[in-house]
Amino acid sequence: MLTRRRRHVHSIHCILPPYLLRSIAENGTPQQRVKALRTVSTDSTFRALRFAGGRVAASSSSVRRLPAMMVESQRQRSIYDLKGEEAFPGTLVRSEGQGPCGDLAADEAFDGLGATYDFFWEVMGRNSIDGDGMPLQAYVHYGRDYDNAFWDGRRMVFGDGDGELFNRFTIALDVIAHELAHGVTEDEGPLWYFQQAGALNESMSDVFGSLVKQRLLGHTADQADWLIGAGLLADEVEGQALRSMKEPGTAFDDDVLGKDPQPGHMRDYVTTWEDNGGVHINSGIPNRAFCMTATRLGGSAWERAGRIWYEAVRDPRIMPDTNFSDFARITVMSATRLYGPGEEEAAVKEAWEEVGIRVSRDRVSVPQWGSVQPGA
Amino acid sequence: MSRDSVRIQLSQEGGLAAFPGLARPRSVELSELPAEQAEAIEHGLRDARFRELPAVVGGGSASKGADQRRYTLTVEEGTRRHSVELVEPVEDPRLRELLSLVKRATRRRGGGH
Repeated sequence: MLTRRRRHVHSIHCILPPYLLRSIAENGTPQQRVKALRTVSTDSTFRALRFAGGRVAASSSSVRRLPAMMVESQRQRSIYDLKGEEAFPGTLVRSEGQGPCGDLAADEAFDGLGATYDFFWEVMGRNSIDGDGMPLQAYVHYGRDYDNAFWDGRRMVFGDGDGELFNRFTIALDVIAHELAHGVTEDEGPLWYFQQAGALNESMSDVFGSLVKQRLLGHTADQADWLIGAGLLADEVEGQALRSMKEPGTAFDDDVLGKDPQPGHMRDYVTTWEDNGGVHINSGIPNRAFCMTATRLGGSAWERAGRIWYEAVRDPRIMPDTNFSDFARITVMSATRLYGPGEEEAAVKEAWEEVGIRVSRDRVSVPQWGSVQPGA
Repeated sequence: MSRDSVRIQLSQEGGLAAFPGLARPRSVELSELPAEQAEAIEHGLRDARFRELPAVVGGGSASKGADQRRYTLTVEEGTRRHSVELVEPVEDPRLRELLSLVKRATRRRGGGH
């Protein structure tokens, strides 16, 4: 039987009218702004939970933690060196408060986790992966010539790459943020890592991965490259990154790696059993919807588009098998909840329509596009 | 085993991104490889007792996590064929060494089939 994982419900310290909080967020001092945004986030979740009614109340019997809202930053990073082994725990080489240890991958992981923690804390008002200050652990130099990075449910693991196809996996900040964001999505929601739900999980990691990078670089939606993993592919490889959120399917086309298989529209949706049902393939569709939303809204993508997506992934209506159209509808509702009917709601709707998913006031519809096999 | 008739095939799926070129099985005849590389793989197969391995090796808790990878390594020698799925994390260092050797051999630019 399917059961929802426990959810986070924060206490509400004050409930101000959303327009007032938004005004503070836009015009207040940096400190006021952070607090207001944190409150907007908590408040909207509260309203979402209330809106969802008994179903959520009944399923959140293990509600935990009260005030997560007013605490100060609790960044706690630990980086371990596995020295080419695939056996944990390795050797602790850098922890919070310490300066660079001199190991490039370890220091990149340390800085990447810091930028990602700061993003979730300062922009989304979230205190680490679990919203409650969970210490962040990264493991570098995993395996020999290991060309991957992953989240194993507790920690982030990075390989050095083989040098022929891939460089070290800590080279790209958005990849580090991608892995940490898997922890956030897993903690927030019950999304299965399979088919469309899994592709949404992947897309959330790309969205936050890209936003962390954009914020660090100070790029607006127009200036951002919207690439995931730029710099990760070795020089010999024909390609610029692992994925393109702006133009899915164009990131690489190489003799060895093959051609980027990501679709950017529902008509090109790939039906496959590989890759957990195409989680890294069809994520191109929601990725592009996010990129288009942010581009339509302009300015810093993390401010409005990012907040709308973050609210959506925390929405209690997210289920293990939530599909693209369910999620599209939830993002539109998040936009309305956060900003009222207007520019943001319209931008989200239009962006989903551009990728072949129509969200009307009452329902979501996806035209019957033909499915394509991978590599077709 | 006679090097002339040994064919090694490797495919992988999962991982941080989908690479059709790496998911597609790639194979190589040991006889096509430089002698040193072929000997290292033969040695690796013996060291890891590859032929005695069950169909699936490795893997931890499958219910959590993301971007993990699995490999399928197949060795054909005449009519004999043995295939093993290696799920990360692969803990046996001899198997990891073998995997690393086979990866290099099958991913040569312009090499592999």
